[in-house]
Amino acid sequence: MDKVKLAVYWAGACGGCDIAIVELGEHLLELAQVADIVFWPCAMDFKLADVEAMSDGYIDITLFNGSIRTDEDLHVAKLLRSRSRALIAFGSCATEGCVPGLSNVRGSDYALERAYLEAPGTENTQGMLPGRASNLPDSLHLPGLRPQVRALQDVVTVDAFVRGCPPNYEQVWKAINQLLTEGLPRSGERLLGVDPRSLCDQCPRVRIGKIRVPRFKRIHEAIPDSEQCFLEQGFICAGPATHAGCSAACIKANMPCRGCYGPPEGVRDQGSAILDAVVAGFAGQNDAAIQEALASIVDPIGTFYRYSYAVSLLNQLAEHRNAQPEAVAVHAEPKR
Amino acid sequence: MTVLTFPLSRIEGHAQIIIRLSGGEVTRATLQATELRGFEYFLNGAPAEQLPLIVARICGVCSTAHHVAAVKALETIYGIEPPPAAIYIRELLMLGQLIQNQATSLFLFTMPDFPDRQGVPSVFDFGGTDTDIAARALEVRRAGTDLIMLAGGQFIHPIRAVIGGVSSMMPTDGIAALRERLKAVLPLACELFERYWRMFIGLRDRIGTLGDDTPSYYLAAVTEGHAYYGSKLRILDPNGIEQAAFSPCDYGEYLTEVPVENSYSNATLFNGHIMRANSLARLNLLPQLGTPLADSFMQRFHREWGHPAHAILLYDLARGIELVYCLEKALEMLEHVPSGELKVHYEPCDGEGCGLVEAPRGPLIHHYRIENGLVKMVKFIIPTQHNILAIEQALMVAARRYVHDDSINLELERAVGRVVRAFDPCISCATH
Repeated sequence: MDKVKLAVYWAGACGGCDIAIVELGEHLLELAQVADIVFWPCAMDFKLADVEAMSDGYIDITLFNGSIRTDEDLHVAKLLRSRSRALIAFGSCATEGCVPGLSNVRGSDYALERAYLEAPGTENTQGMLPGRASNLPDSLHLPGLRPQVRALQDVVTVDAFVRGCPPNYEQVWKAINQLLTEGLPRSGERLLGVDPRSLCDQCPRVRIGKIRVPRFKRIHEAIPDSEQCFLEQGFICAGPATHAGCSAACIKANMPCRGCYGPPEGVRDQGSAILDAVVAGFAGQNDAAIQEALASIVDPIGTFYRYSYAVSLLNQLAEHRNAQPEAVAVHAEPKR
Repeated sequence: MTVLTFPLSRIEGHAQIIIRLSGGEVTRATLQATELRGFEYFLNGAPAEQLPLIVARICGVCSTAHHVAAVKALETIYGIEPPPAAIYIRELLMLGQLIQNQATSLFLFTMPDFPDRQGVPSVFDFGGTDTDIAARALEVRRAGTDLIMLAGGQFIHPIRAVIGGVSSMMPTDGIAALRERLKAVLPLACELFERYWRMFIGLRDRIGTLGDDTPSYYLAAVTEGHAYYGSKLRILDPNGIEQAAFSPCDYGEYLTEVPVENSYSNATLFNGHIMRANSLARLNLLPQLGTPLADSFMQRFHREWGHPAHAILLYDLARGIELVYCLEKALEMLEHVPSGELKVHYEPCDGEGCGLVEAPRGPLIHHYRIENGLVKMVKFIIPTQHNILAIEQALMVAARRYVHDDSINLELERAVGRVVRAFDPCISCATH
């Protein structure tokens, strides 16, 4: 039987997802028995030109990690889409933009100015911004930043997803086996390697079902009790609106969940789902008390949308507003 | 003008090398980093205590170093010192970081360059009696991640270090199990490194050089018996004399960051000089490590190449000596894990401060300003940036060796890969 042709690519990301694949260790050698790795720039000597030379559909499975951040990321995403029979969004960046997606709030021009002009200790007297020099030959072209960080599925069709920042290596092995033996999942949210529950369902902590705190605490303000639900102790935890798969690693180290496995099945917007779960915990209390507790949460976008801002309804809304400022201004008029 | 472009593989992140020629003359060699995410912007407004978790995402390879540098920077601002038991756990985390990184760099990234004339495409392609290298290499590096998992609570983006200490103790059964694993892995690592050393000599004999050996400035934050936790930065001058020692908050007096034409990564200078950081800088600053196996490799190293040593390919061997040191050191530390308080009480306050660790690629500084409990400014002094200009200088040396008036030796492409990998740059970190 022909070996399966496998590719791994790292786009706008930290590299943790590639490392998660290296972490397969001895399984990686088993994998080499049944699969030929035809492209994996971090670990092997293949170059983009090799992929360009392949025919469409030549690669059986591509594990694509990283967000679409630069023009090059977009180019490679399209290229690998055409060359791959199955394209898998691997990890939080490819699936939902992850932490770098937070730069969408003010966009990439601001990110450039911040990093190269405003940061202390930098001597940039000529105000050079990378990728903005106009007098250089094409051969020195630097890939530009896209105005917004995108998840892979927002630029090409994606066949299945492996969640997590990064995906746990046991889950990675499960996902790869699932692909090799059963092929692509045909229905549902097409998630690989995870069981279909929320983190709360896996969490070993005791929960009574009610949040009764006057305000939310920040994690440095107290050492959380290690047996009791974080939310009920007044620490924001994304567990109720986060998909299972991590084996509750953070929870076990006495740190609340920040939501890196993305929303549970059927949930479109993770941030509003976390907020929803928090508010539901206050059921039975008056609005003023609930509002006071909610007002104590600092950095709401970074708290509720740390991993999913790029694919959130909020980001869509903000983009829509920026694109059509006048239309929104009319809607914003108070009704008389 | 002729422009030669070399896309890079077997490194961390996105970069390419551009060599410009005019006539038969090499005029310039640049490392172009081709990615940027923008952490210096989007961390603005984040709650201070979340930084140790978010900054780990700067890099999946060096996440531990960022995680620990972040808590140290915040502790400087709050004026607190974590208890010894917490520092102990953080040091184990850093050793895990080093083991994982050095094993990856040695066996996955550079070792495939050595065999025969061409090298092999990857660690999975060694043939003959060396087919076992991949399995052994993966086992050795796994010991590093297991240590990160044990000490950090999460295997790639750790979570256990918190401002004032650590969030919890490492599980006792985990400590015992890891000790046994390290005992088994140490001889494996030594045996693999011996083979690495032999192949390395083979490469040197074939190509007849170990690359750019210009005496240089070296930067590292190391002291005897250290575990990469970092207290002061030290500078060695090209004659091997220590020229400066400074605390991370004073970095601005010694280190300047300058833009690199058409790259997303800036570069650092020491008082206007090109310098080098990473493994060779550490060994040049610390000629004796203090563990038996590592020191016996070190003596061999000194016998062969002297002290300080300058040829850039020696970075690779230095990494191997460090791998052995970190395994020995971690093993020693796991024998005597102290008990006691894990976290000190503190009152968060606003202010400005820096945190330092010795990351795999050199000193990493996180510089924060906190206002109203939220981030007002972050700045990362990244180890790979310390080496950017040294990489370009070494590339010039390589290019001049292989570019002639009328022809370009095909060895140039391989040489470019070797030069870059010797410095083991991390482009995700360098651009962030």
